[in-house]
Amino acid sequence: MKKAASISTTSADSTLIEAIIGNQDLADEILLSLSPKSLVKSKCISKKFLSMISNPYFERRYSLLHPPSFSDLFLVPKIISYCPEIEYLSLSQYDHDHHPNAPSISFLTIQGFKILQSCNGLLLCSRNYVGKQHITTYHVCNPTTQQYVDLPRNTFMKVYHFELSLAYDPLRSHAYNVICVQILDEHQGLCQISIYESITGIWMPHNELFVAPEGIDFGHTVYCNGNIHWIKGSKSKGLYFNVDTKCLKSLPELPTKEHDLHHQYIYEYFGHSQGFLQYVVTSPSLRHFEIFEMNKDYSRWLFKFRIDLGALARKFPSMARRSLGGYMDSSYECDVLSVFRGQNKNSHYKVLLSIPGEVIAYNHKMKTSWKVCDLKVRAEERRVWYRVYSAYEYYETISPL
Amino acid sequence: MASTSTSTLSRKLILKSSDGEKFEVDENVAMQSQTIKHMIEDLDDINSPIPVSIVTGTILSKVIEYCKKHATEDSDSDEQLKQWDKEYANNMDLNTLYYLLLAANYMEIKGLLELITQCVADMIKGKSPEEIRAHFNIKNDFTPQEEANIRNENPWAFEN
Repeated sequence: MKKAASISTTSADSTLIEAIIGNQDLADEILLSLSPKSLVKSKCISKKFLSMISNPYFERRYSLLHPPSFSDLFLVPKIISYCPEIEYLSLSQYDHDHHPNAPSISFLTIQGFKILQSCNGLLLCSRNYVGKQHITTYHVCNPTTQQYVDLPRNTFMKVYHFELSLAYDPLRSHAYNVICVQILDEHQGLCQISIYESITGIWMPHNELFVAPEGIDFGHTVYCNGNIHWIKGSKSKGLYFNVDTKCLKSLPELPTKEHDLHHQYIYEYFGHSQGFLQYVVTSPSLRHFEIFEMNKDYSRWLFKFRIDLGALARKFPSMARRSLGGYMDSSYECDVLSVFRGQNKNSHYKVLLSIPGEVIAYNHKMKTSWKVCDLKVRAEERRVWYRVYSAYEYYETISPL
Repeated sequence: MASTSTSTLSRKLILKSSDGEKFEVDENVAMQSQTIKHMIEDLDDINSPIPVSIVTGTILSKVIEYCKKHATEDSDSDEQLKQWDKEYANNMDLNTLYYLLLAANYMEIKGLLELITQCVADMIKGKSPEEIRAHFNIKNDFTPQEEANIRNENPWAFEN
């Protein structure tokens, strides 16, 4: 803290809070320590507070000092495409000081928003209108403030199949970008990228065409380090696109197994934590998940650890019920929802998994697992089938759109 | 000489408050204040009282209490020190906190300044704007319409 020379000592009725608010440094210290909700509430204390909090310089500092750190997840059942019942999974329930206020899920359902991607506090959503014509609109929204904007339609959206990705990082800029990959020729995999900038509100096509790896899913995006990453697919070939340099590169492939040339990986999870990409795979012959992490310089995937599903099933028998029923493919009913990386150099990982009716967590260092919560699945449903969820991070943030 | 170094460690300074009260403190206690540290450097005779001109005796004694505790922090764990800080701040009324803040600011005692700031931040957390106004005796200078506008712009923050 710098020396604060501007505290008024002359005014007799100057109160403690006025002395603090009247001093830029002290006021910053106090206001910056508030949660987004407390901060916005404080706007209507007095005009002085309002002007302090609305100051763009302060807003910027607040965003910088409060980088979005997510702790909670939206879980959206994958199979039911029509009005899925979104679940909110709070992982910070024991941390009262930092417990974000549960967002209004009804906001998403009332708007009819389907979440496509979560990116540092903003959601990319789509909305279907079923009328004479089937129309889909696209939106960027902040679930904390419940504000949303419509993305303008691009002319080529009417012609080609396309997928959208959101790139937003308040530590880099208040503006966000939406990247559209148009598939010009499905047969050849010929694609083109267009970029939407929130500042200009205009779509700009990127001139270079490229051929996408077979089976890559541009609908599943991971954004971190200024790059948009796509990998999901059977061949584990990925691409990444730097939003600033507009440079498209290939991600390294997973290391091949020397003893098993026919070894086939099955995609299980692709995400990021603490600026590192994590990729989780399994295979028909594997009874475990393998967790890989991308090297900081993007040179190769590093094997980190595995989760033994058999051992896990002994503790949580419900995930093994199909194998008990005599299915030969006896895969366990267990899916990765999220991988958290510790901040230290000797990083430890925590993995959130969904099993029938429950969410469980796994600590790789201690090799321990525990139940986190029950899922909202009716008892009769629970016996019959297993829901697979898409998990979207929730951040409490006042990021304006 | 050994005796010299001992005497340097336990050198005493005299601080004089705005209302003329004098306090004898160990040098390492007083040195927590950057302002006093700079004053000593320029001082020829350390036996003459150092004026802390805007701080009253009542407040200065509380500042010294804080500095003493933090000058000998190695006797306590971080956890114990935090607990002590908390109790220290909680025992102050708003008026005293205000004058302590001015003193900590003038004397440049970073830890104390942060402690009071944090204490005030904790008072704001979880309170409604009305409660905060009442607590700190702040005048609401908005018209009802202006206040309604702010609430309408951010309905999510005012939901319970």
